[in-house]
Amino acid sequence: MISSEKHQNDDQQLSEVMAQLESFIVGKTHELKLALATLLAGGHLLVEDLPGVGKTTLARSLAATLGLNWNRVQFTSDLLPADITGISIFDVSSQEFRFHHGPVFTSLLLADEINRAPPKTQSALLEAMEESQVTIDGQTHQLAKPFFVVATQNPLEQLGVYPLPESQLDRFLSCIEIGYPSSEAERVLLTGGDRRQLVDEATPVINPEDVLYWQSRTHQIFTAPPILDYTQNLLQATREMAGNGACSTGLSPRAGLSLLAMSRAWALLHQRDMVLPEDLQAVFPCVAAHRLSGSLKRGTPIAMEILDAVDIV
Amino acid sequence: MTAKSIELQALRRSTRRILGITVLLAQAPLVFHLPLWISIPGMLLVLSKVVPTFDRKNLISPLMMTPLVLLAAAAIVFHYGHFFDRDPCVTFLFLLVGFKFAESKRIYDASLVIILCAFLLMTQFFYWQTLAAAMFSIPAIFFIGLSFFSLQRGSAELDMRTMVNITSRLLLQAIPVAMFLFVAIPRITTPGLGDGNNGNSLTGLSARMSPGSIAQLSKSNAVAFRVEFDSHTPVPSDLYWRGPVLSGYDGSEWFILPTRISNYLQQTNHSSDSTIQYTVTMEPTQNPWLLALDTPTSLPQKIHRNGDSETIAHINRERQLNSHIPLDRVTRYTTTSALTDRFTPLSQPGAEYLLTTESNPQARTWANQLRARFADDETLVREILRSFNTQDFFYTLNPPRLGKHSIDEFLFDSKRGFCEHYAGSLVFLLRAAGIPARVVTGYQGGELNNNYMIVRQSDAHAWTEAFINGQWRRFDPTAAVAPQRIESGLSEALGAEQGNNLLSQFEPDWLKAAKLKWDSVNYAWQHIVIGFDSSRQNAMWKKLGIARPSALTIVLIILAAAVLWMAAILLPSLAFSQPKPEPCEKQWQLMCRRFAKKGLGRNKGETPEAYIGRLIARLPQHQKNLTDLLNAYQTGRFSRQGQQRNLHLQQARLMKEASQHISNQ
Repeated sequence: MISSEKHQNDDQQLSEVMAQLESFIVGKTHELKLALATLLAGGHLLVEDLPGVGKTTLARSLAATLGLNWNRVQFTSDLLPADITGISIFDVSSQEFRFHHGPVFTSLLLADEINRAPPKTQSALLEAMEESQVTIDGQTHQLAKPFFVVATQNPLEQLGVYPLPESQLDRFLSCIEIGYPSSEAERVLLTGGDRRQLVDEATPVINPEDVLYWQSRTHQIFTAPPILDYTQNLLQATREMAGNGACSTGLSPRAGLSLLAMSRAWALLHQRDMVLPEDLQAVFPCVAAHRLSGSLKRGTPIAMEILDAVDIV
Repeated sequence: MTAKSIELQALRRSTRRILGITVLLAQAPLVFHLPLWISIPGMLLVLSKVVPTFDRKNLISPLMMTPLVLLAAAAIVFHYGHFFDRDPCVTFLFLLVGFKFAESKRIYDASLVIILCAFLLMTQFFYWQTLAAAMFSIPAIFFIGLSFFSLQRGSAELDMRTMVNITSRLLLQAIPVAMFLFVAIPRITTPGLGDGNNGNSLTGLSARMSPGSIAQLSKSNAVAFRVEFDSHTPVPSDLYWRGPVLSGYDGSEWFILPTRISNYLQQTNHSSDSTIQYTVTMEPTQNPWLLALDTPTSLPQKIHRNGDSETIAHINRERQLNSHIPLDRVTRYTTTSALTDRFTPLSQPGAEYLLTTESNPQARTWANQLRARFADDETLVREILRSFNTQDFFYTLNPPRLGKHSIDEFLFDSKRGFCEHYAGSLVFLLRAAGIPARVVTGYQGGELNNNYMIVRQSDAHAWTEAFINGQWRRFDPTAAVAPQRIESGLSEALGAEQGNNLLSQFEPDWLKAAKLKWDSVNYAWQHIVIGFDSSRQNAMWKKLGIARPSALTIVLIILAAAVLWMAAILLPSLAFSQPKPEPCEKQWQLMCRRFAKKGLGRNKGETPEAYIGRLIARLPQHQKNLTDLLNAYQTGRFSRQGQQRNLHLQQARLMKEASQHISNQ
């Protein structure tokens, strides 16, 4: 059992993390919290937005603040799976194959514009995201712990995009959009220094061990039976919606687990040791929207409608 | 039988403990009725097996069991002198249940013990049928149910709380069934079974009266009978409850002389307001005497529910009401009386009313002197009463013991006596003076409790009737010595002296009031439950339109009622299968409903926090209480600690308090 003093210390750390993230990305507290919660819940984040609103900055800020190694892969239409996972190269001097680690061997992988790559390459990430390991030439390689994928995707309406397959979408715990900044925030951005440089010069607030510890703390957050009831009712409602044709698919049991995991992380971020209906409601759109219809733009209104329609026990 | 099946048949420790408590509870009420030196060891035997330290050991080796049972039987025969009677058999059953429990190791044994307990529990009704007895059996019945449950629960380990809950629910559901069976199953009237006490152990008036016998009776606070007056309640000085008339005298004791049945009643030539009708409920006495106010004008009637009446007694020439059968159960009858102290008989009294003995020479001399001085009978009586009043005679519950010439000693020496001394002496003096006279025993007074009157053994009394000018006239010498006895009752007349005998004198008023309340409840119990006999049952059937139902009809009615009752229990739970909300959720829903009435209902999908936030924005004056309520709700419903029952209930209480504060503001 962790003492309450330790808990207070954690809360202190969490506020410091949030403060630093907010100094990099101005005026986006809610989105930053969702991103951080996704990481604490041990999931992967999909950011769907227009170019230039700070998707990459978000990923880099997270890596810099949490003290994680990070790699960036720019997905293009000719990117191959081996470009992500790595490749075995014949070493002439030692007369044997040597595994050349790909960019996936890191703690935070920024997969930029993931939907510009063909499905084959997108799927190369599947095993890595689900199992935290990659298998090449029959050899399994463990990935770093923690392992966290932040993928960005351009809105589907843009040219030259391959929509992510449902199986891939389901593996992203949450999907957020950053959106345009408010006018005050934009002024700060315009007048302030270069964000990239700020991020590069930042010192980490915590280290990867702390992240692992928090992930375990997140597991200990209590979900009471009524919360489980509420979760089930929400899942059931999405399935009924899908049956009526309002959205393409209902939520899977994995989505239900994701919803609970995300709610726990959200409760932890709010210094609570129990999940409240608020937490579920706060994280429901970002967990459900991309799963329900493949894009935030169409999925979010459906998710909000469900929240209004399903009563809390 | 294989080792495994024996293992399966073995009794669980918790079951055995529950069973032990069941046996103790079934035995407990009988301790009041059985000899203590047998019943206490019998209960200790059971108790020792319930205490955890001993319950593993074989307290009594199986070889010892038979000799012990024989020893118990011998002890019972030693105590009672015989065996084949009610009391020894009940005692034997009492002990056998304990022995059987002590050797119980298997489920089969336990079922037998439970059934024996149920039977043992019923035997207490041989002795008393009061409301207290019924209440004594409730915990035992509950534990009988609990034992059965514990025995039949199979291998599943149910916690105690669940078992108690389910047993209570079963018992509650069984109450209407029991009530219906009580009403519907034909009543069997069995003489002697009703109220225990075969004769002598009962207190009450007796056929013989010696100096001190009524004083002895007066020390008992037991209820003799209860009366409901149809119209007004007579004043205390008119409340002479006429019982056995004692005309015989053998020098020391007064006794009843056999008398012919007369059936001649007082003519109702008095004004109608002195004639009153009333209903008496008499406790069992084993004697035939029925009590009526002096002087009865009709024979006691038993009124049935359907309005039929039945005469249950006759009257003899001494105006003594005698029931056709001895009162072996509570008896209820209605009769009328004219409140008068004189009666004109059809014929002159016989010589037996003048008989005296050769004893008590001084009294005889005094009677002769009085006779010589006063030619008029009434003046003579008045003169004796005056001397009782003016000389230093004392009215006391504890008169000195008297010797051979008891009346002489009393009149001229000790001058201390209770009503029987005065009544007996007056009759002796009058007879010696040639005036026919007799002693009348009965009760005088009574305590009014709401709408009825309680007459106790302590109200027992004796007075005198003398035949003067063709009329039997009542003279109460006690009234001359201690007028308060007649006006306000015994305790008033005796003052400090009787405090030793009747503790009731020192009871605080509230206790007295509570006792009276209890008595009225008990009276209702006697009347409604115990008094429900076959005639009232027939009346009930008649009212329902089924005159004299056959056994088959009754069985069909019972089956139909059972089906209806099952449906009544089962249908709601089938129709509304929704589980009951937890206490916190219940409080929350109550609160939501209350605010919804004010147009501030919770929206669908609105979280508790959002809702309370909205309420606070609208009703800022309730901010603190609403916040408290929200915190308690969230803790009780969503936190880990809130899943523990006591903490959950605590939060529910907090929510209730906050709600109350809100509605109070």
